[in-house]
Amino acid sequence: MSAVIEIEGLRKEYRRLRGGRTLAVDTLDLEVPEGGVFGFLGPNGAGKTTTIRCLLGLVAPSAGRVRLLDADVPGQLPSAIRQVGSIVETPALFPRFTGRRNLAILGRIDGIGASAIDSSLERVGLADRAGDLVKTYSLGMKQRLGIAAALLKDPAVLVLDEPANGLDPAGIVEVRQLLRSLGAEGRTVFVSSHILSEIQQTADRVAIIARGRLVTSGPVGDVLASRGGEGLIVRLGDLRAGLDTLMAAGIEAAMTADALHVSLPAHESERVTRTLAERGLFVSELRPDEVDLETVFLELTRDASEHAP
Amino acid sequence: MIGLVSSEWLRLRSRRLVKVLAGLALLGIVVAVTIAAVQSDQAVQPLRAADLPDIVRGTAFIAILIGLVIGASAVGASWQAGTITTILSWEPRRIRVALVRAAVVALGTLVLVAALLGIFVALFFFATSVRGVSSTPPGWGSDVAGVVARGAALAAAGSIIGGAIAMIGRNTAAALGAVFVYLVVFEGILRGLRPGLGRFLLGDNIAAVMSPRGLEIEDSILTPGRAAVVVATYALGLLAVATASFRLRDVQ
Repeated sequence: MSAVIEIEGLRKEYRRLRGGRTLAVDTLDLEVPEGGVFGFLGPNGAGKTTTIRCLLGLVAPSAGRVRLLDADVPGQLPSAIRQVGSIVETPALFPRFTGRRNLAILGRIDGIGASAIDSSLERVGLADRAGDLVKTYSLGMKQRLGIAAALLKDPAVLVLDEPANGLDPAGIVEVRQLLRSLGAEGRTVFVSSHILSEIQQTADRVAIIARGRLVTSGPVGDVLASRGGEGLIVRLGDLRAGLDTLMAAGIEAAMTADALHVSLPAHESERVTRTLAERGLFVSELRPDEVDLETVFLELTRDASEHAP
Repeated sequence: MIGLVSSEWLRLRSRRLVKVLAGLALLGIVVAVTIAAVQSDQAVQPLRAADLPDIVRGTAFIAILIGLVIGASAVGASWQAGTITTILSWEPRRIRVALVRAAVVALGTLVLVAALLGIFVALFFFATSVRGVSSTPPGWGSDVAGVVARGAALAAAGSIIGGAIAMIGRNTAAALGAVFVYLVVFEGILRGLRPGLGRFLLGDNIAAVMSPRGLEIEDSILTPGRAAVVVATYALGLLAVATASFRLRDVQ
């Protein structure tokens, strides 16, 4: 099996109450390979949750084809769903039941017993509060219970929609570690998020969508590299002298308000320091001009909006 | 399938509303029987076990109401809390989910209402033996059992109707409101305009199921057997529409 999730030409339109249609997903193509963490990114209203709902058979596509674990959705979904754990938006749980009772109700559907429930609760750090009513849980605890429910089936694929929503910084770190460990176990973790720094630190591959269309997809490093980022940032006392020196040495550079931007790859940074030092100019800071996922995301989604019909 | 039934059963018996309704009904039974026993006058109007079938018939509408509320809330709460999304991410076969849920709620309601009516019968009979006349006519036992069974069956039908409307409207209050408006306003107007239509109306058929010899509508008798078929048709018809709607509509 090459891809655990295959989406071809997915299109979803919603009818508006007062006539007309809203296009939520527009001819989306996406492939998620087996294993690792796959980040699914997009601004609000980009169609992430609708795509996830189509993937889980909750929403019928207007057009296109969705396959999950080699099963056509929705027709063959029942055969695949036992290997899929999911959270869609905020975890929907029974508020007047305890955390443990919530998991027991779900677990019974697949004949999952108490020991699996205990280990799921333990894994998300909710074992101590498992006997409390869910309505007394914080949003972060509800998220963790949702993740526990998704893990209950010991799934091969996890589809998690904004799992870090409402979590405090410590909770976000815990979820990040959990996602990494799940990916490292060979599971496929398909996670949508708007916390881009989290995705950059967690995901092996990403897809970015805007206005229901795929903007880019691939390994995180390739996506970052596709938007430039080749270069060095150099700070020193006399920027003008530094710029003149580098240009005289045939090194392309530009001066900004407080630094020089040198157009050399990071592995040639020694050439910069030597050239400057030979003229008595000493750098106070030299670092690669890295582009982060947030910058790429904003550039790509802005481009998509500008080129939208 | 068995897992889904077990899950739905656990969910139903964990519901606070079911426990509260059962508790209130029990309290009502105890209070009603106690008041009846205290006010019983051996000389003028004693408490008579022979009257039990008619008294149980009078409680049938309360039983149906309990069924409607349990059915509407069991289904509507899932939509309001969004837990239907969670259930479907475990069991995506929607027709199976809808039918199992309806069956479990109906069976649970049947058992609950039968138990409540059984407790009422036992307490009332005990009260007549202490402060009334406990002698009964021939066939009394089967008459009482039949009335209890019919009351419980009607409550189960009520739960299916309440659940089906909640599944269509995706809301508990909307379901209860719709049933109230239909039974009181819509059927009331129809009955007033065309009394003969009563044989097709839910309210008249419920009354006919509980009555010993049926209900007279214009020149004909609506027998309990025929009325039971009409009530079942209402319940199963609504369930079919609700299941089809659940199958076809998006779950947001």
